[in-house]
Amino acid sequence: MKELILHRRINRVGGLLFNIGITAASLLVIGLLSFVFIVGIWLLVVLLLILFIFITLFSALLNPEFMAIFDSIIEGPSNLVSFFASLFRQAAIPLCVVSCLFLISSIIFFFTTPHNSTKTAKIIISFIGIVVSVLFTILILVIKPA
Amino acid sequence: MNKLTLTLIPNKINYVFSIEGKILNFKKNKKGLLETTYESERPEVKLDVSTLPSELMEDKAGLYFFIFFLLSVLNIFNPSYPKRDIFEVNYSGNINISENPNVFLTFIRPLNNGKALKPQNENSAIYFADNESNIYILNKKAQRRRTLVNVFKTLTIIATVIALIALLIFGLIQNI
Repeated sequence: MKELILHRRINRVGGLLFNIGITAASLLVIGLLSFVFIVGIWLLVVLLLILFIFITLFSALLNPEFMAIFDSIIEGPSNLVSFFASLFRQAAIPLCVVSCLFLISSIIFFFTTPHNSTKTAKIIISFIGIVVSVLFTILILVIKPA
Repeated sequence: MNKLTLTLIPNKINYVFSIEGKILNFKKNKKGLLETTYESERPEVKLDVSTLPSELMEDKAGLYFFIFFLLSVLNIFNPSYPKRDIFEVNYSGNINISENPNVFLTFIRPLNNGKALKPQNENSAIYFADNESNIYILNKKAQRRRTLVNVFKTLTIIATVIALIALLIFGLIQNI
């Protein structure tokens, strides 16, 4: 019984590391999308802004200056591309290191814990995540922004 | 010597099967099912099935939650506490093993006071004693704690997303 409880706790640590690793790997993928596809950037920004707009709707309606700032933000995709390009170029290598380290750790944790039905799937995704992280980091550093 | 073969469909429930106090270890067979055997001189043995209590109900659950809360960056990367863990099973029943039966069981999806174990074929139904202890019992304390943790996690994620968006917009304004 105690052994099972211990395995469950180790499995939680593995899951936690897996979540961090996959999030870092996903950020690298978004980073490359932001380099290559302007549409990708627009979708991302719009989705993020929707939430922000909902929350600040009341204050925005009261303050006319907010709309002026909002217009300046969305005035052109080229500014956004250069912003994301510089952001991801600076963050690519640290993100890759974080992603690989956490995914390798999670693979070790999952290998050492039995009685977990999603173990195999997570190990496969972790392996793919490591390859993707390295590949996308190289691409981000090599490709010039659109 | 009488032999019982227990087969189980793989599932995510943290179960403990024991016969006469001895914990059974399942191994995957060629068909991908979990299988174990038990041998005894007795014609009838007592099978006990229980589940692990929720992680939120363990000793020092608060301390472990706090450690994971910090390690997982304010609970954001912490895997969720599964709903199935708030249900408990404490089954106890006798099995006649004089004919070396193969009992094939599966766990049903947890529901309060719903059946827990179900025989997968007619032969298993004959040997498996489906009595009143074969039910899921909802642990209300675990349910309350899980709800609290989920609400807390949602609020933390919302706050983080708002902070990130604010940072992003600030960065964009600076860049433009």
